[in-house]
Amino acid sequence: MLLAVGSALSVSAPLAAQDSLASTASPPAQAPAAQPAAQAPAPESPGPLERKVSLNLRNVTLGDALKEINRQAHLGLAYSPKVVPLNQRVTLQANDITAGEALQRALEGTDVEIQVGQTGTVFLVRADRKAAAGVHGEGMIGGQVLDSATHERLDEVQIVLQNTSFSTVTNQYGIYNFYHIPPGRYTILARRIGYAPVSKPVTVVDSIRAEVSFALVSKPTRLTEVVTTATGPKRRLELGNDIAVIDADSVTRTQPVTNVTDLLDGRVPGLVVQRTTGAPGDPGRIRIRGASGVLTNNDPIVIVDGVRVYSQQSNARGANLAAGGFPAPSPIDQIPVQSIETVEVLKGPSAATLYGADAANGVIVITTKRGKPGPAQWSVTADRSTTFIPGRYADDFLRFGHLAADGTPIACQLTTTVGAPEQHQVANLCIADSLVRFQALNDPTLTILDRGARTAGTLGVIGGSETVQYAVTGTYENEQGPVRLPALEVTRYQLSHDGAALPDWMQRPEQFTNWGVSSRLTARVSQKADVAITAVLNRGNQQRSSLESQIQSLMGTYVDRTTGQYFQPDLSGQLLQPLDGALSNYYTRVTDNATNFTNGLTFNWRPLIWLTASADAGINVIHREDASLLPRGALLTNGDSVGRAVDGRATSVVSSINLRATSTTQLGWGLRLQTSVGANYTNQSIDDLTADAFDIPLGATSVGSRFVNTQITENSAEQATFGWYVEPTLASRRFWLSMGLRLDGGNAFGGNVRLISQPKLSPSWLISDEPWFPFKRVFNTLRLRAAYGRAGVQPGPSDRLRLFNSPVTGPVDGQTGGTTTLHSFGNTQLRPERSTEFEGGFDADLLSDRVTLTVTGYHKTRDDALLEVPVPPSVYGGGTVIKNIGVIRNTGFEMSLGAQVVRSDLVTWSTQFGLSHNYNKVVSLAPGVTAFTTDVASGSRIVAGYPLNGKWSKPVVGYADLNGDGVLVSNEVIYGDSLVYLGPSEPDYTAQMSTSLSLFRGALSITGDFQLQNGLTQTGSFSQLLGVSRGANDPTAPLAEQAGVLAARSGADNFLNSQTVRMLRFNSLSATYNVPASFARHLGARAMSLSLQGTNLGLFTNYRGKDPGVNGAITGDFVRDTGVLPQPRTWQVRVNASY
Amino acid sequence: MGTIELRSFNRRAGARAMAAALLLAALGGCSVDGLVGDASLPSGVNDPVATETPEGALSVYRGALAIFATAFGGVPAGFAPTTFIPVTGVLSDELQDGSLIGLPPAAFNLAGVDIRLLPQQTNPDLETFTGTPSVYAALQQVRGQAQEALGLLRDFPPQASPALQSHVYAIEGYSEVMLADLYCSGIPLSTLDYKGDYTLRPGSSTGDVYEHAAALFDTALTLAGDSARFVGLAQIGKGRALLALGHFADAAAAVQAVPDGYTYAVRYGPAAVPQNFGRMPAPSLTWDFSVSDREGGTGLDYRGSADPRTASTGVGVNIGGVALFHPDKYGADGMSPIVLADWVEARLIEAEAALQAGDAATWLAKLNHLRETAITPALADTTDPGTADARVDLTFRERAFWLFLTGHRQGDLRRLVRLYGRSPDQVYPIGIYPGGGAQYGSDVTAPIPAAERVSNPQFTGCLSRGA
Repeated sequence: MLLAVGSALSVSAPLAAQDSLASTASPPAQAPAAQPAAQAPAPESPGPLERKVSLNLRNVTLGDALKEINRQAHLGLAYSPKVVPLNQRVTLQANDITAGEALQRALEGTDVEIQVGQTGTVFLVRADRKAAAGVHGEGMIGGQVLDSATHERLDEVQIVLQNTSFSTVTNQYGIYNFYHIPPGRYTILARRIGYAPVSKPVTVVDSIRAEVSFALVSKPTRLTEVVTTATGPKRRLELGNDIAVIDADSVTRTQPVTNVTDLLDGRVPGLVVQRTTGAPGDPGRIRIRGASGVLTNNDPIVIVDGVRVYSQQSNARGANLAAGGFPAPSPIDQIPVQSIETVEVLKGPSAATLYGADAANGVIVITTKRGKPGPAQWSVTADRSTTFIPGRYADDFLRFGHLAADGTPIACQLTTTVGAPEQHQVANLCIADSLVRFQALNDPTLTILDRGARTAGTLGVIGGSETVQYAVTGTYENEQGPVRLPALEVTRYQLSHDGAALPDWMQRPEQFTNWGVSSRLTARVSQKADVAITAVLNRGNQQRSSLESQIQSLMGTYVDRTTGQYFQPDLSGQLLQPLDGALSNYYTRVTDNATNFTNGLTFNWRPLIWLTASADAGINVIHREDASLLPRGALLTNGDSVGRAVDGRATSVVSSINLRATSTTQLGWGLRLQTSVGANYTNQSIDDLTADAFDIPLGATSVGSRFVNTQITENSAEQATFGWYVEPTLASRRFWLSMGLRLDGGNAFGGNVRLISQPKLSPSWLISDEPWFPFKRVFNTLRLRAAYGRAGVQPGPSDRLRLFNSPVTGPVDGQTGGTTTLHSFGNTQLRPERSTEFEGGFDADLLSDRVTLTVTGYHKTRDDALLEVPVPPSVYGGGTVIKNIGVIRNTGFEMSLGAQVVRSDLVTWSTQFGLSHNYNKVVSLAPGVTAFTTDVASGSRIVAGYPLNGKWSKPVVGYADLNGDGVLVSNEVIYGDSLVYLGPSEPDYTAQMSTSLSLFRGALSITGDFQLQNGLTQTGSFSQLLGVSRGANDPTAPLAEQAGVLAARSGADNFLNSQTVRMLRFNSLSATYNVPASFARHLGARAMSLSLQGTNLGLFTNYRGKDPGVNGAITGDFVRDTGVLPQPRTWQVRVNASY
Repeated sequence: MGTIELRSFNRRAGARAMAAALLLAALGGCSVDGLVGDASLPSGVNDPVATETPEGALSVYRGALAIFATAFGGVPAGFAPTTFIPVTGVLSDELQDGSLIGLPPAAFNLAGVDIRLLPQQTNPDLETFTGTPSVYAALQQVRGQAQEALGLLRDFPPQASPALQSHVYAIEGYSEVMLADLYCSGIPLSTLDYKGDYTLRPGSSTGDVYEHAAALFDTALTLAGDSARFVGLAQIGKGRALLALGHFADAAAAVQAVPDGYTYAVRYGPAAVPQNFGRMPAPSLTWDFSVSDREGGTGLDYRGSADPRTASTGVGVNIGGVALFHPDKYGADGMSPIVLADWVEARLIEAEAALQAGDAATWLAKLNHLRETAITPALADTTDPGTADARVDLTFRERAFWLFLTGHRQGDLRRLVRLYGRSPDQVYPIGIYPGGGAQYGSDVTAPIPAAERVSNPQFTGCLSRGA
């Protein structure tokens, strides 16, 4: 082993080395590119051995003497203790002698010889080595490896003498040596991950030490990216997990991304976005590696610049608090996407253990843009887009007829319910007259679908000095949704309201306005400390109305053009009652105004070389003002239009503190130990108040204090969690082993806190750097990794208790007093749920880094899963009780493949492909827990052996047209008695492909991306439209469709209406033209670009409904398409300029 | 430059890690308890300990009465009146759904109930409507609350606890009678153990439910002590259950001691139970039903008879132009009490038992006794029609008029089918549904809601949909 004498912190390598990094034995032409002038050696600098020292050493060890000489002369002395007899006693007294002379006197009597390397490092080598080499016909190669830009000495650089068995790595001073090399010509290769490999020829001459040094050019790869972990930033290479990193700044500049959900959608294998509706501002729920829980939601936690923010989307607060039938904008999307620099996604417990108990569903780490030293750089972006619902809705059918007896108009359906209507059919009492096909949503005079528009702008500035940097981003967007009240209805309203004008919100209800300011200030407090302050303020205003919900009824409305009458058959399709108009409800306005404020402070301190510490503290406050309003007198239909106003005020406050410290020390034998310890505390409180008033005064728009019939409901809760952890990481040159343990606690009713321990373990092995690795021609890098981790979630603070509602005082049975009723059943047996995940995989760069491949497999198990189990109505009328229901598992793999197909100056074409598979399964249910339904409307059930919330229905076993009349009746269809499994609630396969083409040296770039999903079982909106389905009306309808209608009417409705969906969506296309710099300058800009961008440009699916990607289930994990607004298509023009 | 020799494991490494740990402990790990503190209960709820006092037991007891009042004929705050009396009135011949007749189906109506089409599937009319508990859930909730109250009254007895327990047993018994009257055979009588877990039960036959109710009334009688109010309530309840079982003599015996003039009425007031049956919450007080008249040809002439017991007043027309009639026996303010059990019912039970025993004279005397004394001015005596069927018809007509809109008619129609051999089409409305064009269906019971089927593994569905 070669030992080095010198401080690792010193960078005062002899400057003379900078010009002589090439091999002394190689031609000058092989020298690397000239170094920057500032780094050129000073001509008058003395050689290291010429530096003067003064010594007064009496009977000291040779080792101490060498240290003193090195201290005075800054030699960067390197030697091996096997060569130098360090314990030998020496006496050395001299003033102002050269270091070389001092060394010679100190080494007198030893067989050690002094050599000076090209870089100025002084080596002490065995004197007989040179002689021996000469004797045996052998030579020696040595040198040093530096970073070409920073001139830092690079350790762990792999040095390979190609076509030989010789290989080694550089030590912490960047030095390497080969001994006993037979004379001859060789090629020597230096490579280190994150740098471009360099090879040089070298000629070894008998008994001569050939020096070959390298200056490696940094070439960051995916593996050398620095990612944020709970214990601080680390190279991806050192982690056993796959962490997805999205360069948000780059994506938002070139692609049509409007919020954080858009940014995540389709860019992270294993991450699925469940869209709600296509209304502006509506959220998407994020699921990472499948769902594992129902009670404990499946939302990942979100951290912005170290600050935990409120991110729950799947509980009741995910809906508008004043009108629960509408989703509220996502808190995640209130973070201005243009202010984000990177988003990192940690996918499960194996990666997120140290983030705490509720990180089992993954962690999304958002880092906002940071400033850069230099003058202020301004950037401006302006967007203008148009939106519309693409495609046509499928036709519906209606078979008009009359009763033979009295001519009463009736819908003569083919297949009807048991009982009287079918008697009509059988007895030929119903005489069919005509069959019509119709679809009001495709009719421009009837439809409520129209074009929407969006305008958005961003203004940002980045700059600062060496000590203080800043970044400020301001955003604004305004969107009008693609829903409009048709002119016919406007006229009808005015006729029935004495010509009163409709308020704007009734005619164009969907409006969404969002503005935000994000700033980040970083400052160096001292050489050892710096501080960062983040402040994000955002305000979103969403408005919509019940007009949206008319999509479902409108698609089943037939208009008789000859009479002007509207018909909406009921669910059984029997009644034919003409209506005054197509729309029955567009009178309720729903608004959600949210103000989101996040403030964070990060303090980094490096008190000692081996110790760093940091602290994050922050607060996130979201204040919501939700409201719904049915104005008094707005209803067309009856005289009791007394109006209703509901106001909700909701505040969530999340405060978090994270403390961590990391020590690093060298253990010897090439091992390094990095130990991190940390603690964090999170407190989340919500305080919601809703006031619901009937019979509001004329003109009132909100709940007033004097309203008589007002009901107040309140919901408040506070939950605090804390934890501390320790994470030692053992690192060698190619191997990293990280272990960790976290202890978690939280508050509970009564204050009894029980800590949960959560271990983790993750090895990472850069196998391609092993000398014996046989596939170096193919793999530039190959890293194997694995990770194990656990996270646990405590039940809620009061979940174990049987609670009673607070008494209501009033007369009951003639007595005045309190009345108390049961609030919740409670369960004293509740245990924390535990999520355990194992993942393993590899990362590879192949074919000269043209191809990158990442493959990960995972196995995530949630034991003692907490679930709100429905209680049958026979127990206290129903409700739910929380139970540990059993074991839920997600197993799957993720693959990411990136390729630079064409890489030239003129054209660059790169493609990224991602594929993920997730198999979700309820492995077992706890004793006493049997299969049960979680959502009746979608048929979602929890059954051991099947996916969580899988769709179930009674089946149609068979059917036959026994009488040959082409029409099925109920006795010609056989139904199964038992429920059968139809499919999962989440897709089992997802794939994404994005491709980017850069032409004309980057002047024109085109990007596009596609998303594929397979396996999602959607319960469709057509379930509500049996009465107008083809199978119910058209005598030529296939028997299967007729059987489906009969099944639906016999309790097997989901068998017909649930469909396992395949869909390929052409998600976006963007073409950006970079305006020539001269033209940009003419406009006063440094650079300028124009983009034409489109989203949702194509949908290829087997789905019978409109859009399988939307979800009318606002909370929970169910999937239901109940005729909600589909995702619109968008075309957008964007101008981007920087100054 | 310093000089470091790395010969072997650096013993300072452990010390450094320890130092880092200590630093963190000093900074953040010391006082987490102080940071976290105790959790607070969600607003609007009480710790169970708060109920474990005599006062708490009393409050839970009153909670049982309040829930029963709502399930029987009240309107849950802010919701539609889909409770026992309106629903059974609509299913039978007493009421029609005023929002439906003459109109296309609206979002809120009892279309399936009124037209007797109640397939064994998710039925929004009887499951939930925008959060309204179904009749089934509401009556089952009464049973659960009663069981909670009984446990507390026993363990934390307030004054006169046995009598209060008697009251609760009787209320639980009535809720079971009502379940048996409306729902199909196969009703699960699950239990909620006081302080403990709950126990799911399979469906019980209609007969078993009545038997169980009768047993509850027996228990109520043993605990009632000298409380005449609770004794009478239990006696009439027992008589009603036994009558439904066809145990006519036992039923008569059970009510024999009920004195003339006894009445137990459920009170409705502005606070805990703000409205009585059939009206939307104040201040709209809209009436979404209409008193029927010969509904489906088989129904009784509640309006046409001009009988004061079923008098009604027109309250305008619905938007389909169909006239709506509100019963005079209930005030427009929605605060009228509704009789749950009274001496009239006791005498009617005795009369029916006498008829079953072949004692037509006693039967007629009992009926006329009521006509003479139970209403002012007195009604003219009725006469014996002479035939067995006609006597039965008269018995049930008298019951229907005396007990009009008190939740008895549905049970009586089923008894006519089950015990007297009538066919459903003879007693339930049939033919063309008024104004709608479609025909009445054939259902005489409501199916158990799907929520029970999907969450109670012991329940396999209705044992029978017949009467």
